[in-house]
Amino acid sequence: MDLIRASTARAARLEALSDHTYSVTKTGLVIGAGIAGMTAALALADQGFAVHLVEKEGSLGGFANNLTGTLEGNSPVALVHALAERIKTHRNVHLHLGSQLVAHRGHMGAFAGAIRTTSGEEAIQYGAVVVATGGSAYTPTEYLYGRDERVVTQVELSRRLQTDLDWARGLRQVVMIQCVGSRNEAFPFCSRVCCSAAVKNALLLKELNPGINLVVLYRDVRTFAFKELYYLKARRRGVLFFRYIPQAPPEVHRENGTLVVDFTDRSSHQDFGIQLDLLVLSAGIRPNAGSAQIADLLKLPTTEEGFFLEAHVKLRPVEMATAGIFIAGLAHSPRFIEETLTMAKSAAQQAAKILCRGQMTTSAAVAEVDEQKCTACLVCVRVCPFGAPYIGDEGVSCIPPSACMGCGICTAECPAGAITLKHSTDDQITAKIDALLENP
Amino acid sequence: MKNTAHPHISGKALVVGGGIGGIQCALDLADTGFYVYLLEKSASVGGTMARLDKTFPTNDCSTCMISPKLVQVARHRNIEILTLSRLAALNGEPGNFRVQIEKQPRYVDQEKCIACGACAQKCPQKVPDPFNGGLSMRKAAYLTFPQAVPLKYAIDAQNCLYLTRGKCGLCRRICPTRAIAYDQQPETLELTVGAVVLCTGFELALTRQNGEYGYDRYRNVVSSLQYERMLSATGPYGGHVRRPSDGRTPHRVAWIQCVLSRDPSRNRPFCSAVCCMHAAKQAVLTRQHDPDSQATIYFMDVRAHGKGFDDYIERARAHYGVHYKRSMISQVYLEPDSEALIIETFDHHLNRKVEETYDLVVLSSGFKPSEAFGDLAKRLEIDTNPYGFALTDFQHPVHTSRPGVFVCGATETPKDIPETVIQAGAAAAEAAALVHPARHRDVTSETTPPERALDAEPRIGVFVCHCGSNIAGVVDIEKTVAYAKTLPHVAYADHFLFSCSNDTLQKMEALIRDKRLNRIVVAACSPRTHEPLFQSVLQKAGVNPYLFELASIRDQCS
Repeated sequence: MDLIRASTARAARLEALSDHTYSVTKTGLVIGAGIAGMTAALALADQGFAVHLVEKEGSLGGFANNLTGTLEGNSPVALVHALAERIKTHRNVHLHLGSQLVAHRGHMGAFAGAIRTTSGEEAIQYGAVVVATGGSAYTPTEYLYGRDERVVTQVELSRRLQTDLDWARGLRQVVMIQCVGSRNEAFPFCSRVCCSAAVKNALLLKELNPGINLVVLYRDVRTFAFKELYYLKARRRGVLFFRYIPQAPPEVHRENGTLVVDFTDRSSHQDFGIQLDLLVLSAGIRPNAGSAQIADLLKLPTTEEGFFLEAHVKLRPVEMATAGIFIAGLAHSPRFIEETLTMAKSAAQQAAKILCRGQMTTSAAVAEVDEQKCTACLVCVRVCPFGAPYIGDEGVSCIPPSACMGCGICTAECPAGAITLKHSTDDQITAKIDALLENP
Repeated sequence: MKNTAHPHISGKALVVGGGIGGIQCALDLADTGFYVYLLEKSASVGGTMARLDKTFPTNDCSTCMISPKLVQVARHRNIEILTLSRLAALNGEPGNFRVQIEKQPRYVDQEKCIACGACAQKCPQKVPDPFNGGLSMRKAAYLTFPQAVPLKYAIDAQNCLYLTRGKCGLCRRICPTRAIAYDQQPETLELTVGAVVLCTGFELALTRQNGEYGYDRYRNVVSSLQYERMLSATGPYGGHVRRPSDGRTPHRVAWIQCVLSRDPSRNRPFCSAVCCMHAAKQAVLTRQHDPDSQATIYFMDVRAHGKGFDDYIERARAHYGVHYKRSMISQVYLEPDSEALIIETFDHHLNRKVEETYDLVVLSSGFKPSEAFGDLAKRLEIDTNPYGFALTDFQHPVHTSRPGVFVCGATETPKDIPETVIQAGAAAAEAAALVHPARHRDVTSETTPPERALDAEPRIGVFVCHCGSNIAGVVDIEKTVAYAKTLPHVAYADHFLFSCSNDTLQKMEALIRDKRLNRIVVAACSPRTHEPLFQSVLQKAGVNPYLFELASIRDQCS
């Protein structure tokens, strides 16, 4: 009854409000032209939308250009070629190579920005953004990497297995170490793809030389779903898998020019020392260096490691909290190629929800500034999580209704009491509280 | 991919399966200008996600996560939910498919049913409730779960006394709106759609055949989904974990991982991808429910390969004290007097075999594609892998082998909720690329009546909701309504059984007009669930939607 009394007190003071309508720019912006960016751009272009695809390097494909083959035997390079062909010839795609986004403002459906290209700056308008800034491989500092040519990463091994088969056939003792640069204090996440990469290369090595001694030192083997079948195959082919102790990881040193790895097997508590021809490190994934600049420009949150942080892990995995901005690929988290392609299409589809509309409406429950009271102190500009307020030409704060999410933070923080949150006005709230605390 | 669609492209799509994958895909299509038929074989959409308690890695309540989407799908002008239906045939070409749907009778008239529950109350026939994994009973007249969409009862034809033997008929007599319709017949629908998306989900591979674990023989050995139901507030024991044998709280609970996964001997050599995480979650929740409990997980590898997953496992170990023992358990023994379970394992520190006793054992069973999918794949001529999952192409990861037919979720590979939601969006994108020339063409639109001039003085209407017995069970509705009438500016007060049901909303609209109400207060659940719904009623009645207030008496009082 108290609640109903409070509600009726507020209801008596409610005002009729109108939603704000504005036109949508039916063009998308995709940042990054790796396989995620190209796929997102094509998904939008194939649905009839124009897309600006901005890539800071001079070529397409991103990290996938470094990959030789997947666990299942598919070709990343063929994929890159297929996507690149379509990108270059699609009439809806405006490709900007060697370019970067340098300015961005506005709100979902009506963004405006600028890209710096090889020939100067170009102003662009867009209704939605897909961030696909990608990732790269961790460059190890441990296990003598960079100090001994017999220590390589899985990606490097994969490339060498394509070009130098004689060398590969001559290998007698190979050890692979998993989780290098992952699942540790500095980078506590799992890079997801490395167990599969190790199994893939192990199977390739065994194919070339069935007599090879191959040992994989791991913490958990994460060949999930149908990748497990390849792990099973590797074990059946005689690849040895030993669990190492994370707190006492393997140690690598040189003994009279021979490379030796020492480790303790976690299951049997026995110590082993192996003299080897090749040490392969399963190095983890890092978000690309360029992602920080985009995070800053678009005011997007990132995790400690630098991956973009989505709006909600389960309900909105490809959306950012800022409406109209979406995320795909390694910029979000380590993932396999098929998962990246899927995520890119999904992000494009969420962007399409905006681009397919002629107009958008926004809630009328937004913040309104009383220009007479505003002193341009900048508190609202700083506290707004969505970057909505700005100081306009009149020298007072302007809050575009379509950018405002109605959270009320600026309303509470304004020292001059110049901001009103429509539909949650002071008199409505105080009437509700007074009624609640009344004795009936 | 080249658009090979027929020139007469349909702007409609068919989504087969009403779990989270199907729901998300339907929304992603309908929100971009296409009409969607959402097909579901059971009486309600929701799928497996509606049966989960909390979900990893955030421990969010599953129903709370899926309910807003269920409501969106239920209310969406351009999504038509077809329950108790299956896809019987698919002919034609991408862009112009002719589908045949077989719809089983619900035996309840959906237009008339107000979900009051009287039929279930009176129904004398009890059957093991499949929603609760058989751990509790439900009636032959039933609602799949309390937040079912559509929120309409159904009659289980296999177990209804009237339908099988012509006896009883109590529900028909008791139904206040005469919604029971025993004479309903199966229907066949012929529809034209441009694209099809398959999201039929998964089932547990565990059966009684797996005798070595005692499943379905030892009462205190349960499957992961059965345990999930035990943890749930809407489950068989009201959210308290109990031993099925004696109803007592189990203090020592064990999880056995990789049951029917990574098992070549049973021709199930693949991994089901999510069991490491859901076992950790269940163990954490168990420790939260009962701080005196002991939770032990027997595993081979901990597959925590997603964003934030390793962190979750660490917290399970360090903060919640979940014990992890690396040991592949292949058999469970019964201690017959106490019905406790004995697990034989190898202790690496003592360097010998030991026996460990548990009050309850949970089997983290592997997944297989939903039973109906095998048949469906054959009829539609979709290629599957040797384990029955849909095969897709590396460069086109949501395309099946049949053009114009896409797939998402566990139908393709076992996967978790976030990956399913992502894949659903991708399938929608592919379907949209196929039928985009018909965007906005085959959808329905609604015109809103203009706002009428209001009286200057506030004339508040107060509607108190029973919410079935969720509110009425605790709050004295009559007294509340009488009290509301005494408040300033209140011109009218009334109460409803379920304010959010269609017929109540229509009544509300009529009352707003008749009584010239210009402000509405609904005392019910929470603005998070139904505020937009009530606002649309105001709009239809010609009142500005911002003149609405919701008093959360369900969340705060009952």
